[in-house]
Amino acid sequence: MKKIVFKNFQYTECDDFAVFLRDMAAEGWHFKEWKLGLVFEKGVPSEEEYVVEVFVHGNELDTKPEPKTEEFAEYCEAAGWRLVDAKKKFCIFKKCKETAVSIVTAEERLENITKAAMRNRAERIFTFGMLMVLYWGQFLGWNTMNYVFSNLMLGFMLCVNCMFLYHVIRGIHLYIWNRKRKKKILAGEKIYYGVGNKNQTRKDRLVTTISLVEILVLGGILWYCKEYLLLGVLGVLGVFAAIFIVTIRTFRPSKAIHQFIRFSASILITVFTIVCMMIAIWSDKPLQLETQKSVLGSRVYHEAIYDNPNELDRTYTLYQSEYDWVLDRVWEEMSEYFPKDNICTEEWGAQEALKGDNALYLVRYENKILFLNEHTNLTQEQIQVVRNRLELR
Amino acid sequence: MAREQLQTLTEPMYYILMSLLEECCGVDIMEKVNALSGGRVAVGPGTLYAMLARFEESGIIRLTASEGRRKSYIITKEGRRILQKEYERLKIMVEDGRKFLEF
Repeated sequence: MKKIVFKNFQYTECDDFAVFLRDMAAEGWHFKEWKLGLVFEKGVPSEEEYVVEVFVHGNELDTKPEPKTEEFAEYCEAAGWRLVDAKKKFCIFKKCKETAVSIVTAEERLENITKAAMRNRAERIFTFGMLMVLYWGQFLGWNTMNYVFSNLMLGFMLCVNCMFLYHVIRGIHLYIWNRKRKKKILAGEKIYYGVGNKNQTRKDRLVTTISLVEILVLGGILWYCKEYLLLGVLGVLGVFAAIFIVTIRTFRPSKAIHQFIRFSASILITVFTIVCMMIAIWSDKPLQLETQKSVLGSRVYHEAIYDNPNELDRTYTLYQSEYDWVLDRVWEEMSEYFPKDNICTEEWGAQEALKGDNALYLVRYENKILFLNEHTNLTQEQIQVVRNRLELR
Repeated sequence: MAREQLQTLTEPMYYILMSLLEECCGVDIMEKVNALSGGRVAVGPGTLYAMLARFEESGIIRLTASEGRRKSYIITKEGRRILQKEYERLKIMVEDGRKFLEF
């Protein structure tokens, strides 16, 4: 009889892992292999000694023992430890000789664990750091308006910033953790790597809860912003990712095949995302009125299309915000297209007003900026009509 | 691994290199070190695996045979030089200590 247990241990919890395997063996459940989860086989309850080591030459893409791990296992078996299974950088050994010596010294063990954990952390910091740079670059640079007036983009930015900060804090915590343990080893103390079994259960529940909350928050942001297509796309990608993970964990391909599958999957995801974007763009009906709102302000675009096909279109975009810096940014970006010497502040009764070629106007009031594209220069009466209709004071 | 870091050998390093004065299979080195040191020095498999990789990278030992997962090594000229230098250093230390510690 077999059973699969879904349990996740960090590299810094390898002693917790070993204790868990030992406790399971004491109940008659002996660890056999990793396959989707931890696979245990029913047998006679016995006292088994396990040790879980972090093999630095392992790789995060390893789903089973690779040649280097198997070579390492040869040495360990000669020393009295038989390799049961390996995944990523974890190697699980079972004692097969009473005279078995420690696989590594205390200093080496700490170094191996810290290196593996730090590398993982560094990858996440780098990923979220790059995303943060990308988002901030767009927010402060070439794509400000699409961010400022979109709760969705602001929400994404906030999430990415929080995740970056979270991983940086975890990285600092890991560094301090390492320093403390080094001191303990120098003082001759024995180090236990883990949080203890009672706390493991609590930690598992916390991690599961946080993961669910993250998914719900993301889904909530998309639902609130009415981004149903995006929500659908992410849902499909989520299902695809789940199928991918289950397949890899069940069939445990070699590292080379795993890398190839990941690469192919990323190509497919990219193609799928582009196709969805194209569908979204092509199926968009030309809008005559479009409003974007966010916590920082709003942007309303209005296109007046006349019945007379000889009439040119008249369009305006009205930006509103309580924050001066937002309007300053809008003004900075929009005024690039206007000659600085063609000022019409008095005509509009505004804080600032510029007139461009072909009856283009850019006008600023206290909490509003109007960008108007007319087909002829406006008269004073027409300006008043516009001001009244758009409540420009 | 910079070669400079291998100029002064730790006890396990010393005994591992000594055991490789003759061609030896990697997995047998642990037993050989135990025998050479009279049971005093025990090298763990993880420690040994990492050290063999460093020694090979630094040109102190070389691979002589590979049968599946089992690999054999032997010390190189450079390795002998480092081992000899360490032996001389330890001898000097013993001589210096003899004057004060043997009454």
